[in-house]
Amino acid sequence: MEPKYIIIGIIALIIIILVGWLISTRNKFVVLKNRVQDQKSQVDIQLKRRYDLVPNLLETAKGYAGFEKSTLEAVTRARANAINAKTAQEEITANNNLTNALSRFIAISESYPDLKSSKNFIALQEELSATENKIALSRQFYNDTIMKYNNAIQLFPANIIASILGYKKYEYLQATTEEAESIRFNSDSFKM
Amino acid sequence: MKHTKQIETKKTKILKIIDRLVLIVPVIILISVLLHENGYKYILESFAESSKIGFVMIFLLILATFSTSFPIVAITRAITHTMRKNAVKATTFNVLTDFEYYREKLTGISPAEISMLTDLNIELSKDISATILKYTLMGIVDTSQNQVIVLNDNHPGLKPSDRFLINSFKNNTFNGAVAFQWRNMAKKEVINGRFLRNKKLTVGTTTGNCISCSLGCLFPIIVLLITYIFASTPTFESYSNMLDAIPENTSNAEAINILFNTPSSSLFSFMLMIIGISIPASLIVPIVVAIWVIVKTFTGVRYERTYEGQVLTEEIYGIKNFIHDFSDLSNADKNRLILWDDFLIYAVLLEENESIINEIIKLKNVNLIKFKI
Repeated sequence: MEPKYIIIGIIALIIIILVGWLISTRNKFVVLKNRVQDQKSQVDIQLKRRYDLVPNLLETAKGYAGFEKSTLEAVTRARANAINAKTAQEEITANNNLTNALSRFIAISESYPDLKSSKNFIALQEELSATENKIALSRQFYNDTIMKYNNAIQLFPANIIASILGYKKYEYLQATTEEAESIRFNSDSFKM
Repeated sequence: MKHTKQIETKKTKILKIIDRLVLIVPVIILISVLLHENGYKYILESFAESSKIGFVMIFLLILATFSTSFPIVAITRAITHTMRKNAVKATTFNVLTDFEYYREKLTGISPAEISMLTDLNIELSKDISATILKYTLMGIVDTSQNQVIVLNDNHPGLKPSDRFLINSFKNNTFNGAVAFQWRNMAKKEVINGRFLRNKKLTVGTTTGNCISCSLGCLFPIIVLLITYIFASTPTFESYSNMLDAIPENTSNAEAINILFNTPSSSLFSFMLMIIGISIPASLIVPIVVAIWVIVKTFTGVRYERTYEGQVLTEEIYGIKNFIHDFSDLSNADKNRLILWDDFLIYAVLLEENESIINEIIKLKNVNLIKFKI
């Protein structure tokens, strides 16, 4: 066999391997990106559940004379900001603010014995706590999917393809200090 | 036809690899024969002489490879293939809703139940590790100081198997025998529950096993009978005389030419070769059947999922996929239990995290390595 055919064969083989790798890498990016977006929608569902719970909670507190108006207003404002957030960064900040405002609201409600013992308020508070836990878990899963995606697009040599195809890294969702401290687990989840 | 899915476990993966590796044996034998003393050249020369001789040589080579590797392949596959089939059967469930991911916690379900529903078995190291994590989450034990410290052994929801295990940690009497006893207790509790039940023997399965056994045992008799009939035919005598007439110094190629010179002698030559292989094979077949029946009996699926069990198994399948694709739980250590909650326990149970099992079985009073469990 002539050497030129051997060289052509080797080049063709290298091109086939390269194209195969390119396709599989690009497909991997697509899968990982879709997972990030899918998990983001899960976080959004939990956040939406929290947004829906807040007005009920505030309504219950309003019924108790003398409840600090400024606290209620702060929670309402924080909720509105979170709902209307446009960018991802705005959403993160607004939700962190809402978490802080809710923590203050719950802390203040401790000084109102009637409100504290109200069945409706207790039920709403428990539901809020469960939702907060779900948000925390969803966010951890979201951050893990981001980590997998970011690693995939930043590691050599896949980073070359990522930059050519315009894949950009995602920002992690950070928990507020209050939130990190308030993560509790449901002890009855493993009832025996 | 019902749509089914399978939960891939470490056991099914390993058995799949072994099962396939066994099939490499004939290939290795074939390659070694071809390379031994330039065997391949001999085949090429046969083709150069006549294509008929070449094909006969290849046929003989395949026949020799098959007969040499048959005992190894048949006996090993009787074990690995049966074990694999049973393992796959145990991890296969009927699809009811058909989803790939499930993201909710399985409230009220114990690790033993999850493990049993996954593969109809309890694996000691993995499941004891997950159970200890569950106790930690419930505030029953503390594992932060390199040992299992029992904080509360009076939890109202504890089952007898839990109390038994917790007492062994409390009294520092945990060992391999205790672990096995715990497994049996936990298994019984799950079987008596709402998700699994004992499998009834069906007429079809029993009849199938009996027919296979009988055929296996009858195989040598059938082979001897066919040989006798074949050797009793009048044409066989003339063929036999022709074989005797071949001079001793005849080359293989010439001998093949003589043996396959007429259609009737070709047929007799092939028959003779097949019978020559069938006689030693007839000794192996009953052994293979005996091994197959023993392995099938001991590794057979003894339980089946109830409807509720099927629903839960599908959710377990979804959780495993979710943890695998959407988390980095395989790298989490047991200190992250408070953050990951039940999902870390699921990761251990569903073999998505092995480091925690190693962490736990090395704890001061949970030394499972010592007992090689």
